[in-house]
Formats: sequence, structure tokens, C-alpha cells
Amino acid sequence: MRRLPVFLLLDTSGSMRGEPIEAVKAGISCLVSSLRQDPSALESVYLCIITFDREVSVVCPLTALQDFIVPDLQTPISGPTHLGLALELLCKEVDKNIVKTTSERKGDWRPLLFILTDGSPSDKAKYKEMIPEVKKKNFATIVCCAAGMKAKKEDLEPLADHIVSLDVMDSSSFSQFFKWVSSSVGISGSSMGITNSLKLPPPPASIQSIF
Amino acid sequence: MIFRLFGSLMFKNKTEVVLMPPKNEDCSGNSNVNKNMQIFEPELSKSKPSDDERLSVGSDLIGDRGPKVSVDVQNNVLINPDLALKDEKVLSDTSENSNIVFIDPLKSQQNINLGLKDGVILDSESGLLIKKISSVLVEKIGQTPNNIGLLNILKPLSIETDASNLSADWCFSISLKNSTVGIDFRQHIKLLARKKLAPTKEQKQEIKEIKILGKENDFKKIGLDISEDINTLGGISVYGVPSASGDYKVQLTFSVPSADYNNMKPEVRYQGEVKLTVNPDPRSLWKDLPSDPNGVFQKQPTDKKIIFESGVLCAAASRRGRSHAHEGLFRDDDFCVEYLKDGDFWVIAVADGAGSCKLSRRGSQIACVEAVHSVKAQLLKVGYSAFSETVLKSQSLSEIGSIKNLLYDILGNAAFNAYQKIGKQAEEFGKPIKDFSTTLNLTLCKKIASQWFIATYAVGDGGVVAIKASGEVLALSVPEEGEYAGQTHFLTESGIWKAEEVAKRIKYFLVDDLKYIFAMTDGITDPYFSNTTDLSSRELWCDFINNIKPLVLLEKNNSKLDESLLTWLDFWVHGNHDDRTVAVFVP
Repeated sequence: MRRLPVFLLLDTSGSMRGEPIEAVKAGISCLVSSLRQDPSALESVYLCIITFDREVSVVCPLTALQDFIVPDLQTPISGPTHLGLALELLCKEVDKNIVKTTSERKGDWRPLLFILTDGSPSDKAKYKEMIPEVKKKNFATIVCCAAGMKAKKEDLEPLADHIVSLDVMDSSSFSQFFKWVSSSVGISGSSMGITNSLKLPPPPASIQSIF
Repeated sequence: MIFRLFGSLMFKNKTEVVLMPPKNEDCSGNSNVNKNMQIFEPELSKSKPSDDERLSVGSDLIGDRGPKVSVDVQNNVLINPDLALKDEKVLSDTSENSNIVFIDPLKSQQNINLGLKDGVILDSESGLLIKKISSVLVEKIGQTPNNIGLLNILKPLSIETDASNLSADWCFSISLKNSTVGIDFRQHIKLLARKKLAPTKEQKQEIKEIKILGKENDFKKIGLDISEDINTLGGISVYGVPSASGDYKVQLTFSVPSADYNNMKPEVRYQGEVKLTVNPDPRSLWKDLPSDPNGVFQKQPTDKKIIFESGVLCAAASRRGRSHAHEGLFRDDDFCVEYLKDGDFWVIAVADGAGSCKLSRRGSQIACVEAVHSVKAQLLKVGYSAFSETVLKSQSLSEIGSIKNLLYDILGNAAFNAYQKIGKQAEEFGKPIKDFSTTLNLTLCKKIASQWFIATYAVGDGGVVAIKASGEVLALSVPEEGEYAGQTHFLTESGIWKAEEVAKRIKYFLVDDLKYIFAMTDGITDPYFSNTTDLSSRELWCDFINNIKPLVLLEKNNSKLDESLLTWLDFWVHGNHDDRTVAVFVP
């Protein structure tokens, strides 16, 4: 069976503490349960969640949607946003888990990457160094969500295929975002045979699509 | 029937997991409290990493050294002796449960004939059912475990308390592994209480009073039983076949003697919830929506054709995949089969329009019709007898070039004409040719003396295979695939028309004792032949033919072969719901 791997990189730095992180958690629950209602997603989607603050960690390794249990997300009180390190970890996870086609095995579908951040990377040098590495992984699409007013869109531009922004970091904005993620995953899940960059559905009103 | 077997069996794996109790936190309704709970699965796998990984439900049974259990052509269950199999048990079926066979890995390589029965793999220590295997696709075990009637029976989770220095009651929350509607589920949650007396010294404590709160709890509502197994197992069990999807929970309390020696508080009470997610049965989610009646380039969701001429039966069928039916999209696959009476030639084309391209259904249609039409025209030009002469001559090495040139002219041109015709259609319609992207598998067959001459031109995935009476398999075309799934070449690319590119896509064989030819799109090759090596595997083809036999009788006198192929094409393999097209040639 061919898997559709979906990687979520979530900012868990101090500024996400409180309502934002609770909203993100609720959003992920929503994402998972709505994907479970889509039969092709239910049978092919694999989810991996990586969080980044001062530390980066794979809070949920690549897991079949069927077996996925929404993890608890912790946020430190304050501290840097190590997105660069997170990308490095992401590349390792991709290398470790993604199956490429060989004469012995069928490859996975091209993986999708969604990144959610409310700030800008603190490890700028690492971040810049990792962008070409991430691009080499040949994701079907890389979507960055810049949440809140402090998120720097220009930092995300070299990395993302699409950037969306949320002005407010409340639960309804996040839930809209994750709903949109779910419809994007749904589309790519059923578009078998896709060979170039993914066409996303138009984002809902509360999300501004930057490009 | 099957379930009854496990009523009296013990659970295995007494892994102990320490739960650190919270310090001075209130447990009532405060979501932060749950952060003090640990989830136990990772600890289990730490203790026995490799075994646990292989045995966990939903993951492959494949180890580094190949499948743990496989089934050969005669439906014999083979146990791989290289693998640590101490956890599994297989016994011959002695009960009245005639559709169950137990497998004993301790006797490795024993052969048990499953016939059309189902098999199960048991954990020998606990008697837990690890996997149920149905003989229909057992050879796939470990590769597509979800398509083979998996019984969702899981290892026990453990909650262990560290009851030292506890002053406040506290609460917990654990998530059971997810289950699926209609699939047997059984999970034991072990409760262990341990008091730390010193860093290296500890004392086991008695667990008292496990209570499941609320008679009509969430689990019962969906047909799951939950029971307190304090005596035999020291915990609770959740079991049954869930009847509805969603997220469910059950409240639970238990207590242990307190560490409070003044006996102000004789026991510590734990309370919390056990959560379970039930996935919907994917089969129940697929919708079958009609395609747009006003859409351009209409195509019926199914198509079939059968030709019986000069002692040869050729049948083809094509069916819209579930992924397209679910969204009311058209079938993208197509085929065209023709017999040329004058020269006694057969021409078979199957094509798969790219799922991501909106008008690919038209691309595949033009590709098949135009390629077949063009082969006919080219053959006329060459002359039927000249063709046969060239084939016969080409058996000597010095003349091999002439047949290559001839096939280049016939098949290469046919493909190129199809490409141009699609280009023309795209131009007329005012859309880029990319929107019409399609693969093409084109096959030309002719009986020459006692042998069959078969030549193919193929671009993209899918495959054409000839099978001899001896069982030998000749892969006439193998799928072209990129590093990721769905990446392949299309007839509609401009870069594939250099002479050497065209030539490398043409193959030909002169075959004795030809039994069948199969031409298929990836909707069939993907689920049945998971890689290009498999596509030339004699064993897999033998299994494949046996597998479809109940529905598809591959005999020349089967005048309904097309219908039966069409019925069979609705087969269910987890995660494989693309359009499916097959053409079968029975000489």
C-alpha cells in the first residue's frame, strides 16, 4: 500500500503558551477526525508531528492516521524558536521513514509539509542552511502558516510554496487553518498520479493567502 | 466464533511502567493534571524492541529478513525459521471452528494446508490472537495487513503507581490504541501498584476496588464490554466489536493502600479516564456518485468487450475506481481491443489517464483508439505476409535488425500518432496537452506457425505480461516509476520521442505454449504486484490466477469473460482505489 506522509512542524515556543497552544491542539484533533471521514485519507495518510522551541522533538513519529493519537503539546515559559533545528530533524525523519520506489518496493506518495509558527527563526544561520536541504526532499507542497502579528512572513518565503497568515491566534482561526489543511490533504490524497506541485484549494476567508 | 476461543486465555507481557504521581495537584476537572500521566506504549517497546515492533497490530509482520509468515502457492503456511518466533503459536485446527487454523512457529517450516480457510497467528504465551490471515491474499501478509481481516487485539497497557509519599488523590488519562468499526478489539489494562521504600527497594501493593463508573458508559453504547479483572489479570479488559466510529471514554477509579502510616488516609484513590478512538470502516465511507452529466468528454463508469475469433478469446473490462466514484469524477482509464481478420492480428491497448489532469479521460481514450487504428494502417502498409516473413527471418541473429525496424515503424508510429492526435484535440479544445496526460500499453499479437509473436510499446505504469503453459512469466512491459508514487512517464510528454527513447519502449517475444496475456493499468498492478520484480514472479501470477478463479474463469469457452472481469474489478484492497482496466488474451 502507498502512504501519503504528512509532516506537521509546530511552533511550541513560549509565545504559544496558553490559548494558542490549546487552540492548536484542538485544531489537530479536528484535523485528525475530519481526515478520518475521508476514505482515501483514512487508508493512506500517515502523520508526523515535530515541535520546536528551544528543543526540537518528534512528538509523534510517522503514524498511520488510523493509529494516530493526538499528542499532548508542552510549551516552555519562554525561549527561542529553533525552526532551523526543526528542519534538520525533519530531514532526518524524512530520510528515515519515507519509502522511495525501488524494484523491490512501491514508493510513498510525495510527502506534504505544513509549518505553523508565530515568530521568526532564532537560529537564522541554521535555518538558511537547511532550506535547500528541505527543498531537496521534494515535498509535494510546503505550506507555512504565519500566525499572529509577530510572525515574519519574509523569513518563510524562501522555504514555502504557499504562505498563509492568521492575524489572530484564537481557536477559531486555528480551526479554520486546520480545516483547510485537511481539505488540502484530502485533495492530494485523491489526486493519484500527480507529478508536479500541488494545487491547493482556496483558503477560507479568515486565512490570508500570501502566495 | 473466533472470539470465543480467547475467553479463558491469559495475557502476556508483564512490563511495568512507573507513573510518577503529581505533587499537590488537584485532579478535579483540571486538564493540566493529565500531564502527569505517562502513556505506556513506548516503555513496552523499550523492554523488547524488535519483537514488540513486529507484533504490534497494524504494523508489518515483516522483519529485516523477510516475512515472518508467508503462504506458498499451495496455500501452505511457511514460517521463516530465521526469525525469532517464540511468541507465536500455530496449531492444527481441532475444534469445530473449521475456518481457523493455528500456526505453530516452534515447528518452523511446517506445512499446513489452509485451503480456502482462514488462518490466525497466536501469541503462544498469552494465546492472544495477533493476526488473522485469510487465504485469499495471504501471500501478501506483512505487506497489506489491513486487507486481510485483521483482528485488533492488543498487548496490555500498564498503569503502575508509585504510591510513596502520596498525599492527594490524583487522576489519570490513558488512550487505548485506536480500533476500527466492525473489527474485533481486545485490550487489557494492567494496574500495578508499587511503593518505593528506598531507591532500590520497593514493595508491591494490593490494588483494591477497581470501579468502572456509570453503567451505561461510552464503551457499552458502541457494543464494547468493559470488565474488571482484578483477580485473574489485575486490571480491566475492554473487548468487543465496536459498532460506531468516534472518540469514547470511560471513567475509572481504583485505590491502593496509602503510604500514610498515621492512617489518616487509609488508601489513595486514583481516578481517571480511559479513552478510545474508533475509526470508521473505510468501506462505509466511500460514496458512489454519478459523474457530471453535462461534463465534456463523457465516459461511462464501466466498459467491457469480448471477441472470440479463430480459436482465440480476448476480453477486456474497465471500471471507475472508488476514489473517482467518491467525488463523482469520470473514469480516466480506457482500452481498445481489435481483431484484424484479414491478417489474423490482435491489437490490444490499455491506458490510464493521469488522475491529476482534468481531461485525461479523453487522452486515454484517444491514445487507445488512435494507437490501435494506426497499427492497423501501418500493418496494411507493410503487408501482412511481409510482416510474418520478417518475424520468421528475425530468428536468425543476422536479421534481428529488420524486425526491430519493422516494430519501430508500426508500434512507434502508432504511439506517436496517438500523441499527435491528443495534441490536436488539446489545441482544438484550447487546453495544454498536459491536461490530457495518459499512459499507454499497446500490444500486438499474431500466431506465426506454432508460436505466438507478441510485441509491445509501453509508456508509463501498468504492465503487460505473457504467461506460458509451464507457468513461466514474461514481463513484456514493466511500470516506469519515479522515486515517489504516482510519478511516471506519459504518452503526452514531448521528451519521449527521440528514436532511442521510442525504441527502448518496444519489446517483442516469440513464445511457445502461450497460455495468457494480461494487459493491465496500475489500478490492478499496484494492489497485486507491489513492485516490478513481483510482476515477473511465477508464484505471484499463479496465486493471482487462483485468486480470481472463483469469479473469473480463464477458459476459451467462457463467453462471459468480459462480464466476470468487470465484476471482479470491484475487488477490495486497502488503500487501492484507482480506476482498473484489464485485457486478457486466451489463445
